[in-house]
Amino acid sequence: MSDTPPPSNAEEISGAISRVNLLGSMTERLFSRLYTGLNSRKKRTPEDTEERVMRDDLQQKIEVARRIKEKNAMLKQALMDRAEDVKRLQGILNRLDEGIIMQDNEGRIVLNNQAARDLLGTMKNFWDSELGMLFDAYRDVDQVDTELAPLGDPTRVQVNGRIVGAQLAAVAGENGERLGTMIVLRDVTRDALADRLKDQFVTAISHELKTPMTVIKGMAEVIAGQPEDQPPPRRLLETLTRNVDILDRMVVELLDISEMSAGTFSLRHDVVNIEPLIWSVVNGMTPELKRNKLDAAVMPRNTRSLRVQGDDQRLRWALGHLVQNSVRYNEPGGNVMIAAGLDEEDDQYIVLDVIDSGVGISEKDLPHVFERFYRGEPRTSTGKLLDPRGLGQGLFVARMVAEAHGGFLRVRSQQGQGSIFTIVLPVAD
Amino acid sequence: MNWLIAEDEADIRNLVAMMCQVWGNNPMTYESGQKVWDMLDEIDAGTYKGILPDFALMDIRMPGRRGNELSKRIRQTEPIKNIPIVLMTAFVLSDEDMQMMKREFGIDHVINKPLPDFDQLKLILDKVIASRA
Repeated sequence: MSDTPPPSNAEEISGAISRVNLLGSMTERLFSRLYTGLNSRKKRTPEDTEERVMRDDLQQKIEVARRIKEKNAMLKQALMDRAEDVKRLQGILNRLDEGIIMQDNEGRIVLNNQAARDLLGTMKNFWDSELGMLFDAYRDVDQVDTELAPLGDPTRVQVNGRIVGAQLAAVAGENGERLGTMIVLRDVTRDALADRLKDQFVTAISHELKTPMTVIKGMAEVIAGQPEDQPPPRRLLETLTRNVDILDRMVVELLDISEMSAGTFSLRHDVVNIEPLIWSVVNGMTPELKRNKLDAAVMPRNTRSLRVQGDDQRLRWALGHLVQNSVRYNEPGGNVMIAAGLDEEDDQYIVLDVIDSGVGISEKDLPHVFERFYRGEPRTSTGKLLDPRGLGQGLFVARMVAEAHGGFLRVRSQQGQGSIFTIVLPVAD
Repeated sequence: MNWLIAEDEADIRNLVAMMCQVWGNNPMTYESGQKVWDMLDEIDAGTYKGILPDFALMDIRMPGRRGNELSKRIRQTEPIKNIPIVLMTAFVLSDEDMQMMKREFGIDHVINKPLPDFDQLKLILDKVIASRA
C-alpha cells in the first residue's frame, strides 16, 4: 500500500465520492429495471391460455412435420425401390436378345432397350421403315382380352441393313384397357439368308442332278437300241460313265456335307503327294481351260516335302473346287496359277495358292463364300452378272476338307482384280 | 429338216444331235446362246451363207444368251420367223411362267429335263412341228 499515493487535495476527494455515487445510482437503476421486469411478467398472466394454445399448436406442427418427415422417408424409400425396379427392369430389358419398343397410345416411343437400339441403329430408322407404320394399323384397338395381346402376325421388315422379325402386341391394364403397345424385334437376317440358300439349293440341285440324269437316261436308251450282235459304241459308254461319275461325286459330296454338319465326317489317312495331285486336277480341267481361253500354270517348290497325311480323293475335290472356281469366274485371256511349297515361316506346313486373274469377289459376298450353299453375285469387268452353276457347296467342302486335315482355307480377293484361295495343310510326319 | 440345236452341256447336245440324225434330220449344233445370236446377226445383215434352220430346240439357261431371248429374236428374223421353237429346261416352270414364255417370247413348247423317253420326245416334237406347218 505504500505505493498508493495519498489523496492530495479536496478536488480529488470530491471526484472520488461522485464516482461512487454514480456507481450507486447505476446499480439502483439496474435493480429497479429488473424488478419492473419481474413485475410486468406477473402482469401478463391473463394471456397465459393463448400461449398454451400456441405451444400446443407448435407441438402439433412439430408432430405433423415429424410425420411428414417419416412419410417422406418412406416415399423416398419407395421411390428408390421403384427406381431400383425400373433400373432392374431396364437391366432385364437390356439383357434380352430381343429388341423391345414400347409406344404409348399416341404412338410415341416411351421405352426401348439396348437390343432394339442395336438393331435399329437410330430411331430415325424405326420411323423410316415399315416398323414405324405398324402402330397405325392397330391404332383403334382400345380393348383386348389379355394383358399382352398380339396384334396381327409377325412380319419381316428390312431395316438398318438387316431383316428384322417384328411382332406387335397391345399391353393392357387389369380391365383390358389398352395402355400402350409393345413391339418385339428379332434379328432374322441369318434365318432369312438360310431360307434363301435352301430355296436356291433345291433349285440348283434339281438342275444339277437332272443334267447328268438326262445324259444317262438318253445314252442308256441309245445303247439299248443297238443291234444285239454289235458291242455298244465306246464313245457312248464313256459318256455314260462320265455322267454316272458326276452324279456319284455329287451324291458323295452331299453326304460329306451332311456328315460334316453331323460331326461324323471321317477321312482316310494315307500319305498323299501333293504335286501329282495338283497336276491331275489341272489336267482334268484342261478342256474347260481351253474353252474359256485361259492360261494355266503350276509352280511347285520344295516338291520332296509336299506330302500330307490324308484323303487323296477329298483333297483332289477340294483343290478341284478351287481351280474350277478360278476357271468359271474368269474371263477369256485370263490366267490361273497354282503355287505350292512349304510355308516360309513354318516348314511344318504346306501352302497351296490358287491364284486367278478373274472377276474377284465383292465385299458383300466375301464374308459368306465359305458358307454352305451360298451363291454370290459374280460380275464381269463390264458389270454382267455371271450365272453361277453348281450347288454352291464347293468352297464349303474345300474348307471342311482343309480343316479335317488339320489345316485351313483362306481367301483374299478384290472385285475386278481376281482372287487368291490358299489351302494350308500340315506336312506328313 | 434342219434342226437348230443350242445346248451348252456337251453330252446333252451330242445326245440330242444324235437322236435328231436317227430321226432323219440334219442337226446344226451351237454350244452357247451367243453363237446362235451371232448367226442371227449374220442373217439380218444378209451375210449368212449357211443353211437356214427349219426348227429350233434350245436350252433356256446358257451362257451369253438364254433360250427365250433367242426365241424372241428368231420371231423378229424375217426368213425364219415362223419356225417351230421348243425350249428345254431343268428348272421347274409354273403354268404361269409357261404361258408367259409362249406369249412374250413366241415359244411353242417347253420340255423339262431329264428329257422324256425318245419315243415320247419324238411325239411331242412332231406335234409342235406339225402345228407350225
